[in-house]
Amino acid sequence: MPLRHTAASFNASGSPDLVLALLADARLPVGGHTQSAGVEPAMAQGLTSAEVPAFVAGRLRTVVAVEAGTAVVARHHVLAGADLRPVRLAWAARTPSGPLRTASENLGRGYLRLAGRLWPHPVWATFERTPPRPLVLGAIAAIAGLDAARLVRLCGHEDVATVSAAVLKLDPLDPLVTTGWVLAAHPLVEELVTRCASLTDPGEIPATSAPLVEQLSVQHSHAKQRLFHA
Amino acid sequence: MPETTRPHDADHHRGTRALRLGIAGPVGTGKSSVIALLCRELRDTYRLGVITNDIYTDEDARFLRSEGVLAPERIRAVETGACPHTAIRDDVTANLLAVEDLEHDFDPLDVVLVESGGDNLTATFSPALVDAQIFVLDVAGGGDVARKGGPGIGRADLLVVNKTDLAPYVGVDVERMRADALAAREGRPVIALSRTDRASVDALTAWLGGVVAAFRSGAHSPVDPGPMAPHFHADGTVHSHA
Amino acid sequence: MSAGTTRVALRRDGSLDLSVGAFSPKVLHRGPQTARVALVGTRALLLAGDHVDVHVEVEDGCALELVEVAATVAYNGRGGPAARWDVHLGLGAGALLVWEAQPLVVADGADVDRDLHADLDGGALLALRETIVLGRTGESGGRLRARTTAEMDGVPLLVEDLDLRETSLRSSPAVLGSSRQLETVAVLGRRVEHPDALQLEGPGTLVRSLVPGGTSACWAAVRADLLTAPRGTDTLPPT
Repeated sequence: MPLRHTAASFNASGSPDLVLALLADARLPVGGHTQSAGVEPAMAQGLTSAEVPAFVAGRLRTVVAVEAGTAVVARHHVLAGADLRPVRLAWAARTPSGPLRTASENLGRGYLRLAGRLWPHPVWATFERTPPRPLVLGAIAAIAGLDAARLVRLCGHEDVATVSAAVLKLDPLDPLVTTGWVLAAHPLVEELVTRCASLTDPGEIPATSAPLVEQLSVQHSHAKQRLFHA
Repeated sequence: MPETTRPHDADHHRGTRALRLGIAGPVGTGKSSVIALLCRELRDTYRLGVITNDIYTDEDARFLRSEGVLAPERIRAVETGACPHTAIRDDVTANLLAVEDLEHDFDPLDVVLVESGGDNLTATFSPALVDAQIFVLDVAGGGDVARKGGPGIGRADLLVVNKTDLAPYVGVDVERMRADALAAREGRPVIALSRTDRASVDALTAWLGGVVAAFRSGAHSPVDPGPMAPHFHADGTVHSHA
Repeated sequence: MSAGTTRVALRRDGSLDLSVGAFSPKVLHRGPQTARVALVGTRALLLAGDHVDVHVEVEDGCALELVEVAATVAYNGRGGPAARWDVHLGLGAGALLVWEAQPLVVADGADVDRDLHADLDGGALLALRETIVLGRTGESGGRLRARTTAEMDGVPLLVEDLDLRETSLRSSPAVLGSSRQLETVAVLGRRVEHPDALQLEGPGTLVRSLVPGGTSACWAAVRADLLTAPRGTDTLPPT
């Protein structure tokens, strides 16, 4: 059921930069350490460390745009008091891999646990049990006062940082190298801001697909030995 | 919205969910076999579920399924991203969701056992994840391990010294090790366990029975074995979260 | 250039509406509520600025199979406008459409915008096999953007924008890597079990392969299964 919120019902009193820093912190207890953003299955199929920046760039221009676009539209819907179901359906239709939907739903549950405690708000009661991560992120942004551009930056940064942290567990590499990847991705993250920050309608959410990411996620879900969930 | 489990709010859940029991301890001390033993002994007494946290996802889950001690779907593996310590303490989200899923799918359950991925002597469960925990050592790790102490050895709800049947082969005096452990634990329970020693197995199941009863009556409160080392507070007192 | 709309419509009463566009529909088989129709190219395809428009409609309870005779090559457009390839599929309640599209080969210098939209009513089944090949022998291939949207009873089932226009993006190890070919078997309206399948949240399955012929066995099984499944009236002989 849609809830109609007044602007006053949102607690936008915190600093948006600090909220962004809090949400982008790898130590945020939402289960992020269980995810590799697709890099474990890719490395299992022969992806080398040297190719990771190209892998990251491909993700930022495809599946991460789906994620960021969904989050931005969800934020808009929460602010407008509109039903989130069409946003969820749009996200699901753009996420053809079952394992990737499940990974997003597991993270979404983690963020929902966190959000319900840190930013109490009636909107959380309207969420289903396993919302995808971008839906929850969008609602957190609406409630905690994070604007759409910062929300997109969060999605972009999170993805690159997840890949980079996971590679350190999979390949002996200097952590300064992987941190350099995160910094080098900033122009692509800003491109994502231009592409996604002004979206409001579920039909406008990017649907850019990454066939290898999707295919490998399915193979990974059958793998007997894995460090990361997806 | 999903349940949000808080440390020290067991009252909120009494009667509504299973007792969550963590099994921690160094790699190779027999955490999986302690769980297999508990399942074999108690599957007719309690409705059980198991979560494993192996480094490579499902090795331990497969071992437990192959033991046939529990229906395979009641044993689930959680990935830890090579961070077994994080998964039971700093960020328990993945484990907590897996526990909630088990409770949801097999409602009602009496006890959910959560096996840590096996780390070092400092890894203990957060009370945000479990209500009580067993720390497992084995005689093969050496007779002096118990004396070395650490939060799990000192303050877990139960310390198990496992594989006592191997003691003669590794030159360890079980009674001495047990006495060291009791001293380190200031009287908290210690069980010297062997699968072949019926009395020790009975002591283990009796201990768990006592915890379940206390949990159900509300008399049990989760105790955090605490940080890795005693630490100083601003007022100058030293304190070790006992 | 636009050659008008190619139309194949199988009506509830069993009648068949056909119009010639870039393809000429040829009837290969007719039953009371079933048909097999071949799409035969009427001219050289696909040149810069071409607009191919195909409308297929299968009304309630009817079954149609479309077959194609030859692969389509999108030729070097020499900087001209992109070629457009629009497909609109409409399936009524309980309708079945089986379509094995021949490969679309995007030669060096070609620029193709392919847009497929499918509207399914409840109980409808669509099985589509598509093959994209980037470049002829020795080429790396031109630009292709393939958008697919499918709705079931107005709810989005699959929305995909496969953007292979820029070499740097498509050769990313997240997208196609070093592969130059992508085969897709899409079954919409119900799920098909397959170990490597992408199972949609709604009733539908994608089976993909980056290896030539990688979906052949899957397609053969899906097609045979759908065509021989008992239907209300008649069934299409699987040939």
